Amino acid sequence: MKLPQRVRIKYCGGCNPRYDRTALAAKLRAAFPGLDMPETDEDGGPYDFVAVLCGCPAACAEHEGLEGRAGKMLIVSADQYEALAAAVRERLG
Amino acid sequence: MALMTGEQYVESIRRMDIKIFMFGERVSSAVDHPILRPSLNSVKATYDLAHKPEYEDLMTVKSHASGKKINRFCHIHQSTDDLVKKVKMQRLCGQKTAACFQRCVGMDAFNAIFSTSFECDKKHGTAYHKNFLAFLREAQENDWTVDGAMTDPKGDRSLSPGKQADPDLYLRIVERRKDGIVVRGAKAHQTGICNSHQVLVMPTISMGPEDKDYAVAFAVPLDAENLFMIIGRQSCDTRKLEGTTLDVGNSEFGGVEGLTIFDNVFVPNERIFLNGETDFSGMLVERFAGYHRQSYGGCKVGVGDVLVGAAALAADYNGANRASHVKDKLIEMVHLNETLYSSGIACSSEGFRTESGNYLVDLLLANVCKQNVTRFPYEITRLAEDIAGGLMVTAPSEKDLRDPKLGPYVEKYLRGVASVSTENRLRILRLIENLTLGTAAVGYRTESMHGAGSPQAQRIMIARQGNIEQKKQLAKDIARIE
Repeated sequence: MKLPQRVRIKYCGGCNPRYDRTALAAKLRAAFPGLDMPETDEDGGPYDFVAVLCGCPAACAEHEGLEGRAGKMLIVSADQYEALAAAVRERLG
Repeated sequence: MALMTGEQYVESIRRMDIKIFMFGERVSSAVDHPILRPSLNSVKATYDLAHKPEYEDLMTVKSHASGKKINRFCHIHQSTDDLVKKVKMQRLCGQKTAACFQRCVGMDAFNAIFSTSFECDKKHGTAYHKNFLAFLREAQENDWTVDGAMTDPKGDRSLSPGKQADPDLYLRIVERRKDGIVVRGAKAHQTGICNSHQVLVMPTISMGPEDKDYAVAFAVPLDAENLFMIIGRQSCDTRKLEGTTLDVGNSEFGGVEGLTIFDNVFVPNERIFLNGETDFSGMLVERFAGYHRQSYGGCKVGVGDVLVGAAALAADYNGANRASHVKDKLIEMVHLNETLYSSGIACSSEGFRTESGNYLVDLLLANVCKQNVTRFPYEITRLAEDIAGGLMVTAPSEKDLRDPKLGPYVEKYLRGVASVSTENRLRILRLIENLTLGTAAVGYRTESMHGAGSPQAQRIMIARQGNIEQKKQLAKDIARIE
């Protein structure tokens, strides 16, 4: 059986987010029901793609060492959702 | 168990035999008492948030001692980035509780004792740093909530500890034994002590050689023999006994203080971190105060975020939200709140490495931060009350709202805009009341004034660190004065 591709969702700490990071992650999940999107490293890597969801342009999330086979994308605004979805579609499609 | 869950924390406190008194009676536990439970819930939030992926980046960190993932509240700062993240974590916790969440004081005590004990050992050949590291490892491994206790009752402020009419007005060593010391005294204003695992005691002022018995730092569990506490009253506290949620404003979270009495408490040698080295008392106080003054640039900002939001909703709910003066007042509240945050971040970014290896905040900027905190929350609450209107203090009770006969009148005449229920309007107004003059005002107002040192304490530090001579020279250079 082929395992679903994995998009690791990594959040910043969320001290003063300018958009709802968990809602954006939920939207991504709904758009790609066939992908596995873990929010912790409990099951370990590797990951096919990494989406780092930061609440503001300070982008202070610690994501060093967290890499996806098909890349990583840093999000600092809800406006970047379409670009994120497009990247997931193109790179994991 | 390096990361407890909220429920595990609650049960761990329930298992302890902490001796709490309130209204002249012994309280069996902070866990089940309606006046104390919100305080416990605030600390519980610090455990719950650590398990949420969307907050773990701030709430957790890798221990420098064990390499394990721990709650940041048990961490020794390893960089300026750690100091910044501390402030961000505190803002987050303030936003989620709208109350004092109590664990900062222990974290600040950890970091102050960590560096001070190192330097004390270096000068005096003592072994306090080793003692402290062992305690720290246990605190991190067990994910303890540790109350950092500094403030002595202090009696006559014009007299040093040893000159007081009653020598116990500053906590002191009354007996030195082979296996430890016995201490007597009290620590006042201890927020959250009734729901902490351990208390980390520090001296409250700089001391001279004559005050050797008062220069003491140590840790004991909160259920130690001969240790007990008397809970402080708060305005509106007994509303929590009425069994309603609306009238208390914040029914889940809060903070309570206790006068904590050490009536001949034994401290074993391995839990002593300062014992008579009066020349390090001032350093410990200054460092703890620096960290704690930084803390207020995070926690009060988070609570301020909630108050700004509540004021904005109050305006939405009564239809005043489009008035230009209301918009301007909200802008002013945000400006003041973010100014507090700015100084919290600034003193963190400008932090530096101590001899022991941990990081200390810039003390000038930390004191400026706290000096701002003694003022801005008062203006923020004034503006919130202005926007809220008088109903926040004249509205009938929840029981009246629920009453079959009176309720319809309350519903009818206290309605604001038609699209929002009267109940929701009253909920927001009660929250504003809670923060500005109810139980939470203890934390948001008076604690902003006196917590981590009263305003004059910061002015003394600002005077010491202000570098006026360099500024004089700058002026001379520009004015071409030789």
